[in-house]
Formats: sequence, C-alpha cells, structure tokens
Amino acid sequence: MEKDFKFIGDEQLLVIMTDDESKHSEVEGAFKEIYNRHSGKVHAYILKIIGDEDTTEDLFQDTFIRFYNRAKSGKHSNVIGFLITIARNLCLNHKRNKKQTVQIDEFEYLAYDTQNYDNKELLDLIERSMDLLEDDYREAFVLREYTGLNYDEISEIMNITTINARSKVFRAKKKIKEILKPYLNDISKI
Amino acid sequence: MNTERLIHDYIDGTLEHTQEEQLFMSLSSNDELRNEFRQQMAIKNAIQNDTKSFTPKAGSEAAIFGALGFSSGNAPIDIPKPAPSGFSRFWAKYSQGFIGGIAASVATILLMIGLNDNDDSNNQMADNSKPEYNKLNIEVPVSESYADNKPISEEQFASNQIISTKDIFTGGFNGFGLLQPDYNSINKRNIEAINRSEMVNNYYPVSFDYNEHERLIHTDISSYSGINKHNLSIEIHGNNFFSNKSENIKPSETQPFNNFGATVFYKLNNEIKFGLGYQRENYYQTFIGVDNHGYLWEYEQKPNFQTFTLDFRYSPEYLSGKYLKPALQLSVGGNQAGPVGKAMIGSEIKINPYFNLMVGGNWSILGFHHQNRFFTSDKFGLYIGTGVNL
Repeated sequence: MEKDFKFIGDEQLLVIMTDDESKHSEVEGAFKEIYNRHSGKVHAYILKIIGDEDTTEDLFQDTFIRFYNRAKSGKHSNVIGFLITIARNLCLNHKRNKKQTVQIDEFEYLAYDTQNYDNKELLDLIERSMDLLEDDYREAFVLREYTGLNYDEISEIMNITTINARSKVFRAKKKIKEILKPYLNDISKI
Repeated sequence: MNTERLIHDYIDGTLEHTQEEQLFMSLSSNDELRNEFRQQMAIKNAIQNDTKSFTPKAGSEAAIFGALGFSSGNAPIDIPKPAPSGFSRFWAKYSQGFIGGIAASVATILLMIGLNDNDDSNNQMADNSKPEYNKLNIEVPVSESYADNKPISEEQFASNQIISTKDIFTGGFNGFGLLQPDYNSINKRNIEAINRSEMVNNYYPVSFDYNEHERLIHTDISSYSGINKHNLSIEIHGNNFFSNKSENIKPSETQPFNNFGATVFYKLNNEIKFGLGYQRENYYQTFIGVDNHGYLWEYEQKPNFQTFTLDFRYSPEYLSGKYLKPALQLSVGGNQAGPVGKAMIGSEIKINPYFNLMVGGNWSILGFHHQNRFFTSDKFGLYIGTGVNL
C-alpha cells in the first residue's frame, strides 16, 4: 500500500529519505512532502536576505539539492532548521562575494503619496525598510516572521542567545515601524 | 516592560498569561496604545499575506526534482474515475472481508495439516494436559496508539498518526489569525502517548470467573469434567469494518494482517463456547484536548491496534439445523488505547466434523481516555471465520 506522506512527521520523513532500504518511490515521496512543507519558508528567507529574485531561485534550488545530498551524512532532528542553515550558508557565501548596497534614493519615494495604500503597498514598504536594517537584525526578523522559527531555533541558527534573538526581532520591528511611521500613522486613522 | 514590547510579545505569541491582563487594561484606556497595536498588526498581516515571497517559481521546483532524478510535479494528479459498476462497488466494500475469509481458510487448512503431522505429540500433550486457559502471557505490543496524557516525541508522532487537527474553539476569538500556533507545533505539543503497561494492567482481563449459580443462560453443564483437548477449536477470521462516524482519514501505514485475528475456543457443551481472541484492527478515534495555550483542539486518528478479548459464544440448539448453527457472541477485552467490547450475531456453517465457517455481523466499541476525558469509538462490519476442531 502506498504511504500517505502527508501524515508523517518531518523526522520520520527524513528517516525514510535516508534509509538504504527505502524504495526510490518512497524516497521521492518523502522528499516531495518535505519540499511541500518547507519550500515556502525557505524561499521567503532567501528572498528577504538576498533581495534579488534570480539569485534567490538559484540559491533556493541549491538549498534543496544540498539538503537531499547531505541528509544521509548525519542525524538531523529539525528539518526546517537544517534547511535554513543550508540556505543561510549559501546566502552568506553569496553575499561575501558581493558588496551589499542600499538604494537610499529608491527608498525616498516612500515620502510621497501616503494615501490609498493597500496591503501590497505596505508590504512593499516593509520590504524596503528591511533593507535598511543591519544584517543580523533583518535575519532575526525574517527567521521569526517569515519562517516561523521559535527563538531557540533562531538562536541556534544565528549562534546567539535566545534573549538576544528576541531582542533583535523586537528591535528590527521597532526600526521598521520608525521608518514607516508616516504610513502607519495613516493606518491608525482608518 | 513597556507597552510597546507587551504588544509585540502578545502578537508574537510569547506574552506571559499574567501580563495579558495588564496589556488589555492599558489598551482599553489608551488611544495611543490602540494605534500602536493596529500598526503592529498591520505589519504582521502584511507579512502573512506576502504570498510572493512564499512561492518559489515553478521552474525551480522542476529543476530541483529533475536534478535529483524525481518526476516533475508535486503530487499525483487525481484523475476523475468513472463511477464504479454495482459489482465494483460491492467488491470495493466487501473485498477485504472476503479476502480475509479466504486467507483465513487457507491458513486454517495449513494449520490443520500441521496438526495432523504432529499427531503423536498431541497425544502426549493430552496425557499431561492441565487447565491453563486463564494464563495468558501477554507480550505487550509495540504500540502505535496514544490518547493518554503524556507527551511523545516528534518521531513517535509519525507512527502514531495524529492525522489532523482543527481549531473548534478559537475561530471567532482570533480575528487576526495570528495567535494560532503553527500546525506542526500544535501537533507536537499535543500528541500524547499511552502508557502501555498501565493499559494492560488496568484494562486487560486476566481472568474470567464462571459462576454456575449466577449464569444468565441456564445450560446443562453436568457433564463438564475439566478441559478436554477435543473440545478445543481454533477459528481464524477476517473482518471488514466501517466506523459509525464519518471517517476523514486513514492510517498512514496499515499493519500486516490488519483485520485478521484468531480465537482459541473451548466448547463447554453443544451450546456454549468460551474463547481467547486476538485481533489486529483499526479504530477511528476523535477526541478533544486543550493545549498549553488554552486552545481546545479536536483530534482525529486511526491507529493500528492489537486487541485481546475473552469471548463467549452461545448457539441455542433449538435454532440449529443440519448445516447452520446461529450464534450470539459477546467479547470483552482491551488494546493499547483502552477497553474493548464486541457483539456479533451470525451463524456457524458446518462443513464436516473438523471444519466449520462462521459468518456474522459484528459491532465493536473502544473506550479511551485523553486528558481525563473519556471517549468512545465504535464500528460495525462483516466477520468471516474458519474454525478447525482439534
């Protein structure tokens, strides 16, 4: 009988994926289920850290291929943590080779037309304000808000304390709020 | 802690329960704070609706699967199938029971052949036979079940198959949709394992006291003179069950020989048999539980169980014919989740002095606990068995 992978936990899926006795169809099914569950979060993380869409797609593909190839190399109990760690290393390598620049002039247009914004516009503004955050604040914010990791997982991935992780997420949000203050004030009036 | 931080923690889902009151009091009396709350919520909502960020390009998916040698496409496509014919529907519904019955017959024949080959040793056993039918060495099964109050690891979660959860309490409460914990984390926090040894001690009937003066059905047992091996029989059976509740799920993995079982019967007289039964089966369970955040959840699962029963079969002689022997069977027992009761009405079909078939309608009920609440699950189905008289 064919397994219904939707009802199997992450850790067990990883076991199926790495078990030498698993059939090819089972390995494929387990991998695809993990992909289904976590691809959105991994993609969002890379996009928010890198910014560029084409590079994001490259790193995103590389992340899942490396995940598959490395899954057998050790015990990984936290699949999303494992995936994000791979994605993070790829992002760091990529950024090391490319100087990060912030387009301040582009951001200045935020001062115009504060009326009639919608959710998409607000999202766009948030994205641009995130570009102005320091790297570690942005990363902590993305890990919490986009990938939904808890603070213990964030602290492990970023190699910081849990308290520090909480503080970084809070300060990042505070900074974003400060940047978007004129727009957010309009929201409050609605 | 300032109120901005309190609001952040509240929306983040990390605010201590004791501080919520402080926050709500501040919010109720301060316009500025309410504005702050709206702004933080707006940011959170905007991020949650950022579908573009969460959606990889289709080309990426194909590239990944292609690189790993997997077929493109995420999941098998459900191709609409033509409506099955009458026979197909019948076969789909009852095939498991029929196949079970046929398999049981084959297994019984093989068993019979084996017993005949060892006739000498059987005679020796008869010489030394002692009543041992109340002794049962229960090997505690490797459980896939739960519904007690202890947490289990994520690894156990997979085999225990909590299938789905749905919020039945907070739908109207959380208008923002932000405070509901993550699907996976809810499952992890709330799954609870059964204490198997406790289950066996509490629920498994280890003895059965027969009291002639209090028996419900008065039957002549004056000729009873202890266990006689010629009154023993083995019945191997297959079942096809349907839950009385509408099932939304199925087990992620069906155990080998699911819906098969075997019962060793002792014939007390022509009307009454007692038996010890073993059955591999599923029960569809729904139950509610409260998580650490006070959310009430409804769980659904269909684990694999191994049920042990004590069986009582009554076949009134006045209803019995040359080939048919109508019977009522009542069973009590237990499995990994809790106590089990079964009732069956059917008929034995005599083939020859050694073989008989048993066909009947069976109803079963399982009782189980979760967080000190008691739940039941019942099912009904077809029973086909093959009996061999030893």
